Amino acid sequence: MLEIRNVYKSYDGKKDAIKDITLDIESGDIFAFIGHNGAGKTTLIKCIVGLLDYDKGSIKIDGIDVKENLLAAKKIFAYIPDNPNIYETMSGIQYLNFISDAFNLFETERKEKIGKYSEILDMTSKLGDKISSYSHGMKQKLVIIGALIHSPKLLVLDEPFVGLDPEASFKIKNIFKELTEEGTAIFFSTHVLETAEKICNKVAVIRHGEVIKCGEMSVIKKDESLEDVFMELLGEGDGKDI
Amino acid sequence: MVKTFDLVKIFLKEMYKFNNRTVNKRKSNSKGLLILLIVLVPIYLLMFVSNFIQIFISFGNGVVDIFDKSIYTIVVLTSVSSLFFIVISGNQLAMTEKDNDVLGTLPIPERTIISAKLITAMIVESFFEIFIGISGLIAYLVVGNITLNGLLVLLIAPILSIVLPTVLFSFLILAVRKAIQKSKYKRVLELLGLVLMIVFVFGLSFMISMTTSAGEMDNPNILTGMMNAYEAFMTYFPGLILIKLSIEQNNILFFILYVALMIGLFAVFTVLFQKFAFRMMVYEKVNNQQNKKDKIEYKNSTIFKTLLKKEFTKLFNDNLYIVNALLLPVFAVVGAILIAVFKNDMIMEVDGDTAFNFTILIFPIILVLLSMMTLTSSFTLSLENKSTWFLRTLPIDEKTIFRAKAVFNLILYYVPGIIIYAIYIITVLPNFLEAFGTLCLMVGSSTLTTYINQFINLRHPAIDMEDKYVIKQSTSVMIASFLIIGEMFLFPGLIVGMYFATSSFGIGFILAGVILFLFGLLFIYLINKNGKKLYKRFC
Repeated sequence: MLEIRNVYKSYDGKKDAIKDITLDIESGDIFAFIGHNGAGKTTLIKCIVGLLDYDKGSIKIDGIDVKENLLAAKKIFAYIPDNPNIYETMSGIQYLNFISDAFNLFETERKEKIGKYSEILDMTSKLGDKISSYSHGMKQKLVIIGALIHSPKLLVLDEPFVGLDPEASFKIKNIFKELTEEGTAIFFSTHVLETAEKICNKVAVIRHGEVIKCGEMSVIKKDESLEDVFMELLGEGDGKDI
Repeated sequence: MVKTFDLVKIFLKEMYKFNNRTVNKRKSNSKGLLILLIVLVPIYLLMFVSNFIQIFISFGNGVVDIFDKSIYTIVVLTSVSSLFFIVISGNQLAMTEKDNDVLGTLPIPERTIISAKLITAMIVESFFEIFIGISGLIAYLVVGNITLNGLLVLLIAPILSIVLPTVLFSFLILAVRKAIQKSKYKRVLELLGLVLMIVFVFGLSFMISMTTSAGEMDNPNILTGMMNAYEAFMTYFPGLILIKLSIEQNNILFFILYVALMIGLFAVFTVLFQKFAFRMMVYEKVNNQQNKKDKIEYKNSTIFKTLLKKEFTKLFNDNLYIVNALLLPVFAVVGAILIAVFKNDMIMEVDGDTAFNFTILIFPIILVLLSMMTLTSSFTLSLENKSTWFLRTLPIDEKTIFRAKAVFNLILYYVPGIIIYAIYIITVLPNFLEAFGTLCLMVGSSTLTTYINQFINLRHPAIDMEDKYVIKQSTSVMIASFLIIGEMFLFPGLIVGMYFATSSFGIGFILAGVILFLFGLLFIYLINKNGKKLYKRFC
């Protein structure tokens, strides 16, 4: 579903923010992308969703090269950023209708999807309110609902659980599991290693822009916890800012 | 001592915030800044030379007290020019800054926070004062008989003269907001208050300028009457008597008294209103979160219509945006109605017996000027700012995004434009060619200005700026604003030129409209060709 081949990206033309990254995410995978602050997680995610141009390599979503045909790629993925900066002047329902219009969803389809996910995430009664009145967590929930309503084949998420209450986190993890059972691939970056360990079947660890470990979760962590493996990989000194 | 230290720390933080916005802008828009400088420097030099020549001529004519008058001129000019900024900054002070609630939890007295914010507002305002006043100041330094006292007054008085208006306006705005906070018509009242304030500022500036320049326009020795400017300003700002005494008697004590008075008033107001002002500033944030519910509907629409609706939602949710976008069109329509009413006064005799109705030319020129002043396409792309990720990750073609923003600008132009056009048709009764030509002019000038401004915005995005008011004063808007100066000569010049080339207003209008439209097409082509690439930098 997501093929990343030898991707390089530099902001200043001198130092690579990410270098030679190669990853494969299949349909049905929940792929955790973990690393220290400034390791390059957000840079790679922004390259995948077309917010940043990468210098070398290739990224394909369902066989579509994001550099060559980004518009087609956008139709099959959804992105959730680490900070839910959305239109404060809109109401929740206006925001969701906006996304539905972008994906040409018919009235019945959008009604069903918005109804379903806003019910699960306790947002039904809030949809008529202005987004400016929402808390950080509510905005995050709204962005997540917006990402799910067009049934994407690939979900790309940057720290999706930040600001969510435990109940919402739990429900979203269940939604993710349900989606992967239906064949959706999920690629997300996180600092919460317990979550990654619990719900992901694959993991990649990035350090200073390079993937230093990648594979099946069970193979990588063996009998240890993901936190122990991560600390070992980074070295004790590097791991302190997790 | 500790409180003074706090004041300095908060003040530095506020200035850092302001400066940081500027630094970010410079980093990402170095070319924009260069263009801005290229545009600004000649205007600035022109102002300097003009001031210098005027003073030099005045000396030649034996106006001995020119130095005294020049001081008043600087104080008056700079203070009046900053009034508009006082309204804006006072309003911004009342808006919730993100850091207000954080500052409120720190062991810092409210008066320290309020003082720091007010001083920052004044410093920012004084940048504009310095910009206006410094060319005159340099000229006076060269030709005037400078005393230490005079120099001090010249340097400090203009900045100090905005202390009282800034403090008063800021607290007044907060008080008005407090008074209307529970009203059902809060937004309408806010909007009305904002319009009234702008009318007041323009009115005051107009009254002062009328008093100072009446009958002087034909006089090359233009500064001779400037004592009137001082007297006029004294009417509205009596504290300046101390500056007058200081200059006349060359006594620094009067000036020190002026400084003490200004600082004293600042301190008194800040101490008196500290708790109220701070509570209001934090309250604004909470209050802004209260709103009425939208009806839950699932209607589908085309993405173009949705994008357009989003632009209008943004417009109608921000009073200052409404005033920015709609005040000028309203003035233009009112102006057109007045011209229609007094149209007979515009019929003038040419060559003895040929009567020429100037309205045939004035209406098309108003319509063209209005298109230049409709500037929203110079900042609507930047206004997406932190939510740019949203549009850029949805399957929406960039051209659709650009088109929606351009059409939004065109709608803002055509609504008042068509009203003015209708007034023109009904009252002036132009022939078919003139009526059609005026339409061509509207289409040509609005297409060119809309797309040239959008292209400027694409070239000079306000990356990293969070404050929407700062975005509306960013490089692209500044360039578009300065471009108006050129357009004001070029567009009417083109219309008149085409008239002389064809000896027909109708054909002249059509040709001018077609030329402007062709240039508009050029910018549409440039946006289609490079827009996608340029838009990638918006993130």
